[in-house]
Formats: sequence, C-alpha cells, structure tokens
Amino acid sequence: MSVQENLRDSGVSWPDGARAATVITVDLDAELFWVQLDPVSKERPKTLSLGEYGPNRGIPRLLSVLSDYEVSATFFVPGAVADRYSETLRAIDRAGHEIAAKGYLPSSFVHFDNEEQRDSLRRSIAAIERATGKRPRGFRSFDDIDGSTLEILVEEGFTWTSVLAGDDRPQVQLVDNSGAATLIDIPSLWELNEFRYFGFNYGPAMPAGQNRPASYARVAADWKDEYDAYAEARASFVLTLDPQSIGKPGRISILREVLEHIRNRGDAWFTTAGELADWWRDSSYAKIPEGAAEPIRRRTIRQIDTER
Amino acid sequence: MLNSERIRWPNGAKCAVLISFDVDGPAVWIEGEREAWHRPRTFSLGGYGPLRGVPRILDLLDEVQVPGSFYVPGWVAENWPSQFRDINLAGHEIGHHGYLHEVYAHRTLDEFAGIVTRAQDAFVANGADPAVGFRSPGGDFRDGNHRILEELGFEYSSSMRGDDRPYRWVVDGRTTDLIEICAHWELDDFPYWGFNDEPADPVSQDRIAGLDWVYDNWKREFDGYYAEGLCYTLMMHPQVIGKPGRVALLRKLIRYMQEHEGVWFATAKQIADWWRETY
Repeated sequence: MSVQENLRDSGVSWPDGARAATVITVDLDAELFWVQLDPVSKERPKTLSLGEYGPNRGIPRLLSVLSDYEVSATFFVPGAVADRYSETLRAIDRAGHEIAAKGYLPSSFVHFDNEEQRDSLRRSIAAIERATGKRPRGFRSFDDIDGSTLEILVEEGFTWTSVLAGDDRPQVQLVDNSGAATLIDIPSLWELNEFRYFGFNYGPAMPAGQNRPASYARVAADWKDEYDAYAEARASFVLTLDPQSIGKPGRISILREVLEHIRNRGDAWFTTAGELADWWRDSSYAKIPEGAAEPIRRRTIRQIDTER
Repeated sequence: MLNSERIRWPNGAKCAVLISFDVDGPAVWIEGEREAWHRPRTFSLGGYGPLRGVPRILDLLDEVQVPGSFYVPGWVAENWPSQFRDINLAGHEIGHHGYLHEVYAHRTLDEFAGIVTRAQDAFVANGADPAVGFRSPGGDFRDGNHRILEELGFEYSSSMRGDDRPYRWVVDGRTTDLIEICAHWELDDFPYWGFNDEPADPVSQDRIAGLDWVYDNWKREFDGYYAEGLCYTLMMHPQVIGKPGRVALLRKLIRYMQEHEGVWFATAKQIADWWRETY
C-alpha cells in the first residue's frame, strides 16, 4: 500500500524533530454509554455489564499497556462516571495520565440550552475535582455540540477541546480581541476511533444496523498504515479508545501492535491532548487556518440570518 | 478479584476454555416479531442447527476429545429428540435456554418461572436430567431472574458480559453460590455470520464476515486469555457454526489451543463447581 505518496506536508516542526504528534485518547463512558443509547438499559443488567467491563477489567489492562510503552494518555470521563468510579479515576491520575471532562452524563449537548450546558460542565468539573483534586481544562462532547458550546467552554474556563473532525492537526477555534488563541481543538477522527469498529450489542442495538464487529488484524494494519502516512504528512495522530472494548484480553493486542510499530519507527512525539494544545498555542502555528470549517459555518449562518 | 490476581485452575492449568453452543433451532427466529412460524425458509434456517449442525459438532468434539455445554430450548429438545439424546449420551452438558428462546426482559417473573419449569420437564421427558446451568436467550433478562434461578436450584448462569473470569452472583445484597460465567459478543458466532434477508438480520444487511478474520479475532482473544490465565468462553450456534467451512475453522482453533500447555477444556458446570469450591 502506498498511502504515503503525494501527501501534502503540514510543515509543522514538532518538538525534537518528531514526525507526528501522537495522542492516545480514551473515552471512559462505562455503562452510561448504554443508558445514553437507550434508557431501557437501566433495567438490563446484561447490557449494563458490557459497560462495567470498562472500568473494572479494561482500565487495568489499558493502564498496564500504556505503562509498558511509557505513554501518558488523555482520559475523557463523564462526571457521573467520575463519581461512581472515583477509585479508578485516582488510579488513572496516579499513573500520570490526563483527565478531561465530558459533561456530567454522557448526554448530547446538541439538545441542551445554554444553561443546561453550563450546568453539565460545572457538575462534571466538580465531580472530577472530587475524585482527583484536579480541575479539567479540556472537554470532549459525547456526540456533536451546539453552536454556542465553544464560547460557553471558554467562559467556563476550558482551554482546549477534542470535539471537531475537520483537521489532522490542532486547530484554533476561538481567539480573543488581541488575536490570541483561547480555544484549541485536538481533532479526533472516526477512522481512528476504536469503539466504532468493535462496539456491539443486540438490544439496545449498537450499531443501529448491527453491522459485524471488525477484524482485529485489519484494524491494526489500517492504524499502522495511517500512522506511517501521518508521519509522512507531519500531522498529529490521535487514537480514540474505549476500555470496555479495547480492554478485552485479545483486543488489547491491537494497541500493543500499533504502539510497538510507532515505537520502532522512533519518530513520534507522544504527548497528551492538553500538552499538545498548550504547545500549539505557544507556537507560531496558533492561527485559525484559511478554510477552517467553523468560521465559515458562522459566517454563512449570519449571512442567511441577514438575508431572511 | 483484582486483575493482578492470577486464577488458580485445577491441576495447575493455565486457563479455562468453555466451548458452548446455543441450540436455538428455529426458536431464535420466533421470539419477538419474527413470525417464523409462517415463513418456511426462515424456519428452515434455524432448523439447520439441530438437523445438520449438531451432528457435525458432536463428531468434531469427539475427534478433538473436548467436552461442550449445549443450551437447548425445551421446544427444540421435544422436536429434535434424537439429536438432543445424542448430545446427552455423548456426555456433554445440557443447559437451560428457555422453552422457545424467550427474551426474559419482556416477561414477568411469574412467566419466567413457568418457562423455566416447562423446559426442565421437556429435558426430563427426553431422557436428560434437569439443567443446573442457565443461559439467558437472545437479549437481556431482568432484575429478579437470578433470585428465582437460585430458588429453583440452579448452580450457575452464563448470561452476563462484564467479566473475563467467573464470579458469584450477589442477589438481594447476599453473595450466593450461584456462579456467573460471562460470554462476550466478540466470541459469539452470530454477530459475525448470522444472516437473513427477510426478516432482515442484521438490520443493516451487512455482509457476512470473513472466516479468516473471525479466526484471527478468536485466536487473538485466546492468546490474551491464555497469557492472563482467564476463562475463555466461546458461544456458538449450531445453525451458524455448524456449516462445513465454519466447523473446519472451529477444529483449527481447538487444535491451536490444544498446542498450548495447560489448557483446561471444561463444561460450564465443571468451571462453576471449581470456582465455588475455590473462591
């Protein structure tokens, strides 16, 4: 496969001459994933147990692999999960990983008004602080966000997100009056999202069409090919994992295989989402790029409103 | 039990392997709105399981000398009595799987208890002992089912998804002798290969998975369970795994596992008994 050919280089000089900024992100939704998917799950012990596997068995296995490869990851944890699994959260924190917010319940910000968004964010910050004593600075939504969410995040003290999908390197979303970046997004892309390949249940159905769970070997091969191409393009390679899925005894081999591949190449800058956002903010790249989706979306909406 | 704690298996075995089959027959196509009673082709899709799948699987288990646990709806035992007896006479375990593959989340607790008894009667009428093991058919069950199972004398359940080693059920705050042996969707043949056009299964009509990819997934999971000394539960359906090419895949996988030292192939009852005595 020659995916490395004819790629446009980002031109970014990552620290220490690295070819790709590499971030492992983890969604720890636990059983709340299934409750969010369908509230009937609350009365379905078997379905809930799919999610409980995450904190109980998946997390220890995942932490062990991350420790073997000396990688610090970024964990996105809904506040309700932080409250329920506070000991797990402390173990993640003690191992030197970053913990970021995901709202209180894994519910959709699309359907929240501004006050509901603020309330969810504040409760999630409080829950993570209760568990770890540290205030989260980063946020990932459970699914899409509302048009007002990015501004609300800045007002509530967040400095970065991992929400959008329109880039393969950090992207400045908001700037202040002096032009300084106030919110930076670390994009997470579907093809590098593990749960989308393997998450499965019959009822409530996930995926909705009950498509086949993917081939482990195929996903491992795809991610290695993608990494090689990201390094060629000097982009930022952001993997997204869910412990209830990647944390299975056999599936964890995919992560080992990919980390082994990246380590053997020796050209990655392993960092957390928060560190990467900070680095980007302090770099000469901290500008909203021409053609970025969000300013175009906003401009067009204003135009439509004016014409109406 | 902590992840770091290594399980003690009998005779110093390194891990346990449960080869299990849900002999649903057409019943899996009947529960819910699937109307297989009036759809001969769909009905026959399920009928392949007891008619062709079971004998082929019994031959394989005999060849590789591995015991199996077979979860059989009572109605299937009544209508395929010779296959049912063959499973029993070959010394494999027969476990409970509803009367007509009922989804217990949709049934009251009284209905549940009635279904359990009716299926047990079918087993006894066809020369088997009442089952001591329970696997919840299809979808979910509800809170309270396991209290009734305990009252009815069941010794284990293989219905949950949340662990990779056995554990004791906690019922009404009490830790009981009822053992759970979890199964997992990635070690189930139906999500990979189950297919029908009308009624559509899967809903997306996604393509049937590749034999080589499922083999690799199952092999990688075995490698992980073996390395960590866990309880590997394959959950299969004779109407799915019982096809010639897929039984060949299962043979290859069992042979691969047998190349490893200290793999304890056991029925679910044997695993549950060991767990109850040891933990």
